Amino acid sequence: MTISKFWQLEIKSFFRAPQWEVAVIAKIFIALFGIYLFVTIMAIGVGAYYIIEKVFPDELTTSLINQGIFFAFLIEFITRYFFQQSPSTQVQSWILLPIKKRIIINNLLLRSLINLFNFTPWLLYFPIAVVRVIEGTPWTTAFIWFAHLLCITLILNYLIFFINKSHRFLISTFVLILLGAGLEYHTDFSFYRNFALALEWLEQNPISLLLSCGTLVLIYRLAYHYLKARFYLDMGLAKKSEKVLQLGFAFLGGYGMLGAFLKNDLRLLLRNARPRQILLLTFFFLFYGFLFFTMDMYKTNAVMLVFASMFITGGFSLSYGQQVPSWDSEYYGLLMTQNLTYREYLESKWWLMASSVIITLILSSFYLILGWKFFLIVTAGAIYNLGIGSFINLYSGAFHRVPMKLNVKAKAFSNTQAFNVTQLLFTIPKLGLPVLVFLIADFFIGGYAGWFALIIIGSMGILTKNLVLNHIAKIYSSGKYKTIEAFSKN
Amino acid sequence: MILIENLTKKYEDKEVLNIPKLSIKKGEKFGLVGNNGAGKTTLFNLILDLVKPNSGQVLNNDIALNKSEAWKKHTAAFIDESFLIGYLTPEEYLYFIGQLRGVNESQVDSWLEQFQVFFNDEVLGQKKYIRNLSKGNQKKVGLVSTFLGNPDCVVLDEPFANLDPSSQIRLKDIIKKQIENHNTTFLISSHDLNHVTDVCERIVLLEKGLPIKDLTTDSDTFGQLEAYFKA
Repeated sequence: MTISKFWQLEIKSFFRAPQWEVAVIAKIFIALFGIYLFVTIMAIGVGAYYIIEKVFPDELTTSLINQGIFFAFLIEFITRYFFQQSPSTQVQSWILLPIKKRIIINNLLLRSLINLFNFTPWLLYFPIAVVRVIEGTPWTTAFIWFAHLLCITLILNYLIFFINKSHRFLISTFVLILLGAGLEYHTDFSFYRNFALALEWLEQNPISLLLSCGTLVLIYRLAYHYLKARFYLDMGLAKKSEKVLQLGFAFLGGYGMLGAFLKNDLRLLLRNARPRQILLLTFFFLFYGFLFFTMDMYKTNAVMLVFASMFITGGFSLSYGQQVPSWDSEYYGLLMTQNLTYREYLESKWWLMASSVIITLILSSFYLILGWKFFLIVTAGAIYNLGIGSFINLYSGAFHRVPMKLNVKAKAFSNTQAFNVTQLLFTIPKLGLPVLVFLIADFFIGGYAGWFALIIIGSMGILTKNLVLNHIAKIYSSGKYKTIEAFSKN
Repeated sequence: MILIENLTKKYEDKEVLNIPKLSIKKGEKFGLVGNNGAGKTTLFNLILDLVKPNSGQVLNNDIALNKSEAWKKHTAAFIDESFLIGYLTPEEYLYFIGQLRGVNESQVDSWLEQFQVFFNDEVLGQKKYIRNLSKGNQKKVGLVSTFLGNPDCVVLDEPFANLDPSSQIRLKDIIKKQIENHNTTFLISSHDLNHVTDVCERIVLLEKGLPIKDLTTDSDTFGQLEAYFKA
């Protein structure tokens, strides 16, 4: 059994997965997106040096870049914590086969290198190093500088193995960051400045490469032994025992069937890895507006503002709604044999999405500091999301028959589960319709008419809710057997 | 209670089930046996309207499944773990099912007392999600949930598999008591000929999708079935 055998199995698991054709198309789109991202990051890498030089002509460019890299590592570390998957769950079936543990573990550790995070040094730091050489830095110095950064990235990659899924670690990191920020603010001590100084010292002393590479080798060895010691079903390979997250949703008890379903959906969101990612995403969407409302380039572009108004309050509705039956795919058979109708089922989903819109709208009141006009934009988007967006999302969900493993995190850039061509096509009305409505009203009346048009058609949607839900329920109902069959391939 | 007429199911031109006529009376204890691939689960899925027949129909209490969903009110089933909600605790799950069948939480609590021995202190009050329970305990939750609200018709696929011997015996007692007290119609499939002849008064033997034997259980039934499976 060699490493290449593992890869052959990997390829088989891809082509023999249900709906692998869809997965291929999804991979192509993801690859295109990846190339786009690649080019953008490269451009940032190349441009960064000159931009910084131009914006801060008085300061040392390299020093500023080094300071920026400190924050880049901080962000990378936190994102890794959330998105880098522990690979140990995939090896359970190997453990009994006559393959040396050494090979399995090394394969695991090497495979973890194929990860978007580990390409960032090549995309971001390598171009900067090249530009530095062009600008007169000796190439040996630039090379050592880059080698250090590469080592740090890989050290982070293996560090994640030790802290995977430890909430205690996450909390202590946040406390440390807060303390650090306090230190930065109140004293002369500065982490990022010292980090930059350290990097400058390191690149001047070639011998220091031994230190970085040594640390990398050491952490690889440690990760190896860490995994080897836990290579038993009841240890590292075991699913972590979970504590029951008990939240009182007693107030929902008074709403009968609807309350029972909402209660379940809230538990679904909080107790499973996949939905928790959606919640995190919703939180990020909330701040999306700052990107659009503060940049001159976007502030004056009405279409961009419509997008922003859709995303700020619609993040949850978009990402949850389009996968509505999939969330319940693990126990779809149960729901289909219980005493409940699709109408009741969809109604509870709609209320969940509606609540998310209202909660995010309340939270987004901080946009008032930018001026009441921006809050009007957010409110208009919210009402549109309530009355029209939520229904389109539920409607598109009817065609999303992909089983979902609730408690397995979606991997960044390999998430073909949530991807599907129909969903891609649905993005056109999802984003195009509000823009169209806005532009028509804006063209014929002008002023704030575009925003009020969104409010009006959103309100109309809310008023005709029952009619629309009945119609969507019919579509779900007609696809019932297809959906059950697809979900049974979970 | 259940009336099946000219029911066929094909998967890619291969007929997996063909039942010209089958009638199950109210309160009947109906057993289904047959080797793997004989069509037992397919038949149950058709009775629960989870798959679409290629022809024929199923009537549950005179309600055609393809016309109305009213049969769901008096029918309960446990086919496999896809009938459980993994991220709920057993209590939460039973309260949820209770709510769907019009039984409130305190009623569920007092009703659950009769299953204390069956649960063997490993299911309730464990502060564990169902997905973290052992296979056997997961199954117990699913089985017990079907009796909640005393439905007229209960469908159980392989209820004895995955249970330890004590639990298998206790489950038989629970089923018998349920039949006695509520005149429940039971549809049970099983590979365990002993249990199925013990619980069911009528046993249908499926072979490659066809019902080839329809036996009323008596002292000979076990021997007859054993003879068939030996051959």
